[in-house]
Amino acid sequence: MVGGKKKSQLSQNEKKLIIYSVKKHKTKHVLFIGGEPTLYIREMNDIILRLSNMDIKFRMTTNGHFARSKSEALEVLSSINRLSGVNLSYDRLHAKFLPEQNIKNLFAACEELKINFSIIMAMMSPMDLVLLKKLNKIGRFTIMPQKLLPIGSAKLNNIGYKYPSFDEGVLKKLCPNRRVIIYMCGQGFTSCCSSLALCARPGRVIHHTVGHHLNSEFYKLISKYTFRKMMRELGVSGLKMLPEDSAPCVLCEHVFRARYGESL
Amino acid sequence: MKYNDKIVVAFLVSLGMFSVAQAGQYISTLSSKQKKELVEIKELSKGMLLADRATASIEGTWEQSSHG
Repeated sequence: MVGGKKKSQLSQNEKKLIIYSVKKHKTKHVLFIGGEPTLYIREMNDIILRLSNMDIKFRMTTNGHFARSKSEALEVLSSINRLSGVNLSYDRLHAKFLPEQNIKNLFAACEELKINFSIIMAMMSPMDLVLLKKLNKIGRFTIMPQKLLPIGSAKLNNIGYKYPSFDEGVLKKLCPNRRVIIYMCGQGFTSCCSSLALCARPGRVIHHTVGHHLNSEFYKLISKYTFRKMMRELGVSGLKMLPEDSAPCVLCEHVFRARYGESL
Repeated sequence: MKYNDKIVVAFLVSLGMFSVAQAGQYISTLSSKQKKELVEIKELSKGMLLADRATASIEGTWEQSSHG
């Protein structure tokens, strides 16, 4: 579930729709991301409570702002019902404002509460791996380096992950999110976590219900085909590839824009 | 390609940072100091739990096992 910038909280109808969708599609994992989910603990708990009779693992991705001390971290984490995992977003930019002590506090609190802790490290270049030196001193936990996608403010500031050339291998890949359903607050359901979801017209990439999304042309393409096959289906096989198209999400946007242009 | 260059290329490819060809191109842009840093990181990473892109889809979530 992604918090939107347009609204401050989920409406009651949205909550009902999310709960109905989770139950109907027998979802096993729910992840709250943001914005910053710890600013909406009441909303999270309201959803979690209404799913209390289901076997679901609840996780959240956070920037760790609240972990100024171990006790504060414990208080916040304990206030979220059935929380089984925490992903801390950490990268070169977060490192500028998030004290190392916050990471230690959050990790310690997770250990005490037996909550799985991991770090997602958005990378602008492989040299960002040097952040691992700092993280290694804190403890043993899973670190997931992820290439920063050039979307939103990352695109505006030209700080997406840079590729030296186009990797043909991406054409053999499928959409990495094809088995994920995302609810974007105030908008609807999608499998896309990237530019397409942010810029496409309603009904093309984001849909009012999970059912509509799964039956959409967009979902059928991304769930069934490699990018090469998708391009053939959309009639854009001759598209000129750029180095940044090595990222599946960037390639996907490129392909759909080439096909639909302004009507995307 | 020097031995350390090959170590760095293999490391970057194993993490899913680049393809082999891209990693080879990238390493030619690095200074000796940067290459040395990445070799150190590679050694350090042996004791760490690093997930590659294949196992971490969106924001560290597990892929939904069934839907629709």
